[in-house]
Amino acid sequence: MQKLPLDLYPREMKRITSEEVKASNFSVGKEFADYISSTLGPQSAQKAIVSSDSNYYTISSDGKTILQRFDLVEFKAKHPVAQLMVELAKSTDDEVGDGTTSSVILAGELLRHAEKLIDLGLHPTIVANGFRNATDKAIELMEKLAKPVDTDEMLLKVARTSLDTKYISPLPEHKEGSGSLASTVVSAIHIVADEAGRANPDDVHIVKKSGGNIFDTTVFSGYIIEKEMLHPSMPKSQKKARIAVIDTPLMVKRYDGLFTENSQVSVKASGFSQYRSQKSSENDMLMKMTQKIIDVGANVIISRKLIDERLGKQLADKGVIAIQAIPTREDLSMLAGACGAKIVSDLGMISSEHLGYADNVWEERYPDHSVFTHILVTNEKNATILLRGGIAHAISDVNRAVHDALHTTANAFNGKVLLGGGATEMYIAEELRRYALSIKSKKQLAINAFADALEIIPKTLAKNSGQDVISVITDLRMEHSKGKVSFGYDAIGKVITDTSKGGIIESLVTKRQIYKGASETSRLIILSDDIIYGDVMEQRIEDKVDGK
Amino acid sequence: MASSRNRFNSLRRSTTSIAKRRLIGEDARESCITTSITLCDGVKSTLGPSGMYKMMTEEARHFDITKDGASVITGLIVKHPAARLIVETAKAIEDETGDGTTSTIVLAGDLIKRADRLIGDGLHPVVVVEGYKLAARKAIEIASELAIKIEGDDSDNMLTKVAKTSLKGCGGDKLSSQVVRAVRLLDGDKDLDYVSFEASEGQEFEDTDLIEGSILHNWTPPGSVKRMEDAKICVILNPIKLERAGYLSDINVSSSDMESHYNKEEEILRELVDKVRESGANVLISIQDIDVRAQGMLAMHGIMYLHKISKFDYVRHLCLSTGANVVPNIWNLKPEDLGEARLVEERKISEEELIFIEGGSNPKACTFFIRAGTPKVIKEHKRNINSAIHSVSNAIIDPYVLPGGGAIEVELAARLKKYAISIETKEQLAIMAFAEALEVIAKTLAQNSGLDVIDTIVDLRARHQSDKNIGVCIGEDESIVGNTLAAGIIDPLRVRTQMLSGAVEVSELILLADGILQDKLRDSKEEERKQKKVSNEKRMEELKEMM
Repeated sequence: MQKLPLDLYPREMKRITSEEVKASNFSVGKEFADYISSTLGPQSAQKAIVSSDSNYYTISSDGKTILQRFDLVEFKAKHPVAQLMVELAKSTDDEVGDGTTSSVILAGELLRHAEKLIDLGLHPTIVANGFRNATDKAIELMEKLAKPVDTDEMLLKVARTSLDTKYISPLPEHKEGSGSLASTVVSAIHIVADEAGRANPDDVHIVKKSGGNIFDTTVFSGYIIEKEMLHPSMPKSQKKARIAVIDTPLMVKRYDGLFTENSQVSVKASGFSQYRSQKSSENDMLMKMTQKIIDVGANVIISRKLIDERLGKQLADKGVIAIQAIPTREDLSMLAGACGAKIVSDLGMISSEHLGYADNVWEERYPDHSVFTHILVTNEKNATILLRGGIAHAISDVNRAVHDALHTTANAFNGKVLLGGGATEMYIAEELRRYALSIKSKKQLAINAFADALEIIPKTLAKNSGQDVISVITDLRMEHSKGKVSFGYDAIGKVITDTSKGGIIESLVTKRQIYKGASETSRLIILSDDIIYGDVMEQRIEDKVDGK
Repeated sequence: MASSRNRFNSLRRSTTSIAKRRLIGEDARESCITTSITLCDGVKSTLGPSGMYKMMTEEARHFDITKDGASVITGLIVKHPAARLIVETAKAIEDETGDGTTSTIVLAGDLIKRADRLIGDGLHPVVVVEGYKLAARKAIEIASELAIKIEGDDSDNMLTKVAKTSLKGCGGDKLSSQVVRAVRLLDGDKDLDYVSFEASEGQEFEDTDLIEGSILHNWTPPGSVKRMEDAKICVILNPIKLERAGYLSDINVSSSDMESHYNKEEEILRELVDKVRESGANVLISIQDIDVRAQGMLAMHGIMYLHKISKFDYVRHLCLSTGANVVPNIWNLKPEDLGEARLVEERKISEEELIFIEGGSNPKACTFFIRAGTPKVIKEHKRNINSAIHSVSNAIIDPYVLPGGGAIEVELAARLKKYAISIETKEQLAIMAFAEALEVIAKTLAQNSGLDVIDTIVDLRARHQSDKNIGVCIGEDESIVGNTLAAGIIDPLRVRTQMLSGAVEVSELILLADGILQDKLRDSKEEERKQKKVSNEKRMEELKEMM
């Protein structure tokens, strides 16, 4: 056959089908989920992430951290499906603050099952519709199953289930009891809970300080500023403090107004005597500004902007504590909220009602010579968790664990809880299979596949803790068929137990978001039939494939 | 990894080969036709509510996933002139009607495919094009006859259905009626840009809402009130501070005057703030900075204030939605310059502060606040809502609608076939081909929904004998065809006529091309120029030496 002027129709078109694009999508999705799956659960592996220039590294078992730091130079991560997976992890974290790994693993498993169905000859649209149906049904089921949290003990279990997936204390006495991280998290939640019984995890301020031991981590009612006082001779502590939080510099030179760095106003001194009088009048001006604050009864002044050095000694003499340069406006707002103060930027109109109250304000010195100022407030809804620990990397990992646990616990506190350890998944899978039988159309197969995919959670838990996956799943199925719906896999004890007694509890909100996110992302990938690459990208991939 | 290559890429690769040759006559037409068919077939799978997604990834721009055919085709970087022509036409249609681009391209592809066969049979391309034009004219005539007028009390209901059809099943009744409401708010203003989109990750798409006002990406300074009901808004252009660039005079202050000068400054600021209070405003929006001291004074008086608005687009939108006028300077502030809003509030949504300004008395601009899981999904929803807005706007401008789901196309096909027989010239064949090509819409819809294409089209043809509103519509009882008009799947007439005429235009341009002349590539041109320059310099030197 003679070649056409544009040789694309006869040969290339036949060879390249959308099936091949789909195969590539599915394989990348699955591979991605497999990669991350070893970090699920209490007995999970850690991953070390090293930046390409080897200057920076992180060790973590937190799914989101791994995915975000995932070096995107790799071909696989440049693949659009990989990018979708990273986005899924990010959005799950933004929304509920936990459950990133589970959502990615579930999405990968859904893709695995979808691929099988499409190979059987099902149209992708039907698979996607079936998954949507199954998700709705699963969420309906889990909402029915969920129980409200009534006791502190239960909250403690929720916090521990979340913490266990990222950090396990070597000593059993630190796992439970009053000094444990879980109880720290729970008490923080109790402090920030309002009268209506809702807690916002963002109200909890986490401060990291290396040194000491993880078990020295404390929860503190109030706020900790990572700053020193302005002058060393200021009182080291101030009981019954009245705090003025200001957002304006206490200086003669200002950021705006006429006395700025490059202003048109210049003050010129013609001789030494004039210079001195000028100095003293500057001093007077400064003092006048400050006097207004002191007059309304404040004995602690905290400013986001700078405070003139000359004021330090004078304030110290009057027994007033001053702290300058709080880093960000969020910090300032949080601090003001913590002590019930109103932020003032016009000193001329300050009054006593703008002041906040604290039971105690004091400085604490740490062995590495850094100084933090603690503000103890008992009557406001703000908590600070002071994380301690040996090395910086350990603390950052614990920080992530505590952050996730705070969100999950708050979600549980505000809403309902479900059993963990795969018990809920097994129950929903069982019910979904039954539900599938009531559907006449081809969607039945997709719903069944969704049910099978859910079992990946207990499977992965079993695999990561070194157990035989098949026997764990068969045993679990057997228990569930007997109607023991609370049975799940305890990855720490490595046994199948009644999770309601063992205390493996997760929050409903988190789980719902995991199902929704995973199903949405997998549907998007199932329904994609083409990847359109740019010139450069295409060339690069070809080189990669050829092994150049 | 052979799978990563696909039809578009192969298209692009082979188009580079034309650079080196000049094609004329049959070869050129063949080349153009093959290219356009490949391109048009590529977007086929995105048509309809159960269309497929396409992932687009390009070195120079962000990765995108979409099932909006127009975005796919306008986003392509192609080299072949025929392909570029189609991309440009798609852009033009997208700008003009904003909806129905995919069906235009799909129809054009099928028209070209059938024309190819006719030309192969010995028909002259000009005759084919003439026939197509005749057919399109007749089709538009028939469509206008069949169209149903939207009027009276039912019009909002009908428009909601139009919106719902265009949303491709991504939104429910709530969103559809909000789309209609948004277009109505613009009050006949054709500039649909005043329906703006803001989005935030998190929650679900069902939580997407129409804000009859504006959303600013900004935050209130720490001292300000975070919420103001029954807001009176003033918008100030100049910075509210004393330091000014561009003043001629310096002020010299002696040390004794320093404090009085300082107080004087405060006094000026206080006067400014008093001026704001006198005008009755309780929300001050300054496009530039506000002095810290002035901020404090505003806070004391309980006035909510915002400063440093990053984009002027926000300000324009804000002025339209609240009715405020931008005032250059506070000294000129008058009560009639103030805008109104029921509520101004700062909300923190997924780690980001947004200022909501809602419920003006007579808003002329509005904002869709889209919520969805991930940024890609948000972008996709935004495109969907945008095309629904255009669709509704089309239906308001030209208040006639047609049954969707391929129903009108199948009906037109049936009538055109009858019309074709009445034509005695060679154009008859082309009209016949046009009629058959129209059925591609219904076929593609069926294919994308996972139905049997042959079964569906045969069924449709048979049932169109008695009912002209039968189209592809998957009912709750798993039936595959049904009365689309009753099911609420309707399209504006304007979008359909645009489809018919647009597709004919595209096929005309492609079919009548009989030569591709390629200029030399830019690189080789540069090379030539350089060589010329060098040789010139050499000659100059030689001349100098000779002198």
